[in-house]
Amino acid sequence: MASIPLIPFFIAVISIGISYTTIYLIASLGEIFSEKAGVLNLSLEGVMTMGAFLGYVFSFISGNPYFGLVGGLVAGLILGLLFAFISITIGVNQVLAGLSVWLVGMGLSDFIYTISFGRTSYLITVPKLPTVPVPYLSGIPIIGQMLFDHTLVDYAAYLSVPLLWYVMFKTNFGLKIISVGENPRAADSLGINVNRIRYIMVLFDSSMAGLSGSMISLTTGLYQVGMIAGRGWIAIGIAAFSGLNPAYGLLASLIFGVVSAFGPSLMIVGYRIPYEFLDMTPFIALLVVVMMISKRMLMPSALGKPYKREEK
Amino acid sequence: MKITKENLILNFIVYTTAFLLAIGFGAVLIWTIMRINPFSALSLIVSTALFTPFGRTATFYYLVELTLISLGLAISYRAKYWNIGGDGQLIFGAIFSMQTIFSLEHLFSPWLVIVATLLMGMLGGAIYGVIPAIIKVKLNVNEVLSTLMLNFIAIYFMTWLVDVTGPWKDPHAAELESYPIPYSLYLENPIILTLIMVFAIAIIYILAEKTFFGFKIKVIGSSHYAADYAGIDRGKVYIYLGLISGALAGLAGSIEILSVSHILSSTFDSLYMGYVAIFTTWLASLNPLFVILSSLLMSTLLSGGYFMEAVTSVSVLFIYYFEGITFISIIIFEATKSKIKRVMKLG
Repeated sequence: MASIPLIPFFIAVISIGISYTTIYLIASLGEIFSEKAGVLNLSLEGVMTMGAFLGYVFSFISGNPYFGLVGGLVAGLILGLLFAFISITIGVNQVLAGLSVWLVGMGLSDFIYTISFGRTSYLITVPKLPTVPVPYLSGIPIIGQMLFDHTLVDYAAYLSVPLLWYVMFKTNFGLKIISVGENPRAADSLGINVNRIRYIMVLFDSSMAGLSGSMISLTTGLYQVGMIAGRGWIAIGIAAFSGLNPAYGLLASLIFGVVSAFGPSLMIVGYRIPYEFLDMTPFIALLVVVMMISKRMLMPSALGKPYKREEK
Repeated sequence: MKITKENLILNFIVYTTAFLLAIGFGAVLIWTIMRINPFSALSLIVSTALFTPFGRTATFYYLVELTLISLGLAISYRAKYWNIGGDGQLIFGAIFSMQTIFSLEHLFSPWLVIVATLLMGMLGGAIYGVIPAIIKVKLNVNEVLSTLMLNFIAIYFMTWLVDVTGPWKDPHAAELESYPIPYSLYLENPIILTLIMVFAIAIIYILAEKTFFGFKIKVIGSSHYAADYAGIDRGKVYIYLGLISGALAGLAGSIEILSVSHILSSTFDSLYMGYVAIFTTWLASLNPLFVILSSLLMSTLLSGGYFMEAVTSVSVLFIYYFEGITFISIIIFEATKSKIKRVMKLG
């Protein structure tokens, strides 16, 4: 076995890991809020695929990658409305609603891509999201390159964590979200519109997922069939792992971001081991982690239960 | 739900409408994106799948595999045990089958090896299917998440087996493929496959409708509290369901190896039969007897779509969209159906 050049490997792991973390973080923050309000949204994988696709298309049409991010949000809002309508208004089992929206999102994007872009023998690239080095800080050797040379969305995602934590635990609105997830009937009797809060949270969740999906296609400038490769499911797992706390969500996303970065980083430093095992790592890690914490996990008591006023 | 004439008619109307609605949405998409007449495309799909020899063979194999996987899912979903790991279980069934063939092919007569392969496929699927059930019971892990993680792990593991550095890579093949199985082990007799399928349907039907186990499944599905109150050990039922649905999916993987692909390759499960089976299971309203009809419908679309892809590039990916839309219309109809009934009862 050849030895791994440690310092370049470390730099690669951290800087790739940070962009991976952003993708997990954005999607799982949305899922944390949605589950806190009592809606288990399993459609993330499909929403992220759609977000990646619309982000790609918007960036292709406008030539501006920031407009691509809007595409991601639009995809999230459309599929979010669909999911919210099925699961909240109609009150279908949330697992089934999530799975069906996942299939629609994934099938629709991959199908339209194959028909409209996939007929050429080369891959069509679109404008990538540029990295914006932080002035002064990015000049620090090693650390500057690792931490302060990322896209605007990365910075925004990390900065949003304290804000979202504050909203959830220190504001009136956050209290409403928690009460809707714990005891919708009591919340309703206090005059909180349960389904409106849930709608808002699902739309927030899905648009975040769409945004996170668009980050995947916009950081590479490419779209490929099956490109999300399970990251939506990992984000759902991260939300569970965090115990629905945005701060722990950041921690969990960092762990999985770094674990997922091992594979590409080893390739960058030219170290060859079967990449399948590296690709497998985040899934095994998630399974192990969820096994360790599930017993002690305290989820909102109304999670997964549609709220109907007339029923007891 | 009791099967009465009224219920049957209502169900028939609901499912046909849902399906037609999905066809309508699909047709609109095909027309807007591709500017080809969706109805001629559809009739081409159906006629290719059912009236050409190649199409018919493909449809038949899809039918057998989908039916087997859907049967396991049907009884799991009745207990609200959301096993969506059909793909992982199918792949592990196939891996166990390949290993059996590689170790036994020179030792015993072909028929013995085929039987051993089918049994080992079932064992592989059952082992892979019981893991999420065990960790659900012992550690309270949500089975949706664990079965999905196991799907991805299985896919990567299979890809490694046939990758350039993997142990099963055939050095003469250009693609990522394993060594082929010997010709004497091909299981292409439609009568045997039909018998396996019918036998499985009968067993699952009797298990679900005529035994105490089936009754337990129904109670758990209707309410956890009722099950606990009646003293039903839910954990035990989940583990049995994991074993049964895993074994059936593994059997499907085994049949795919013996009858269709004859090799393990990185594109072995490129249609994601496990996900397709979720859909056929719901289209059959979780009824083991109707599973064969919904599977026939889906296998027609799959094989027709597969052959169409070469002609007009109507992608197999379209199937997912189609599945999703049908799924949505069915669950919406199911939800509103009970509402209609409630209104009728009150009025």
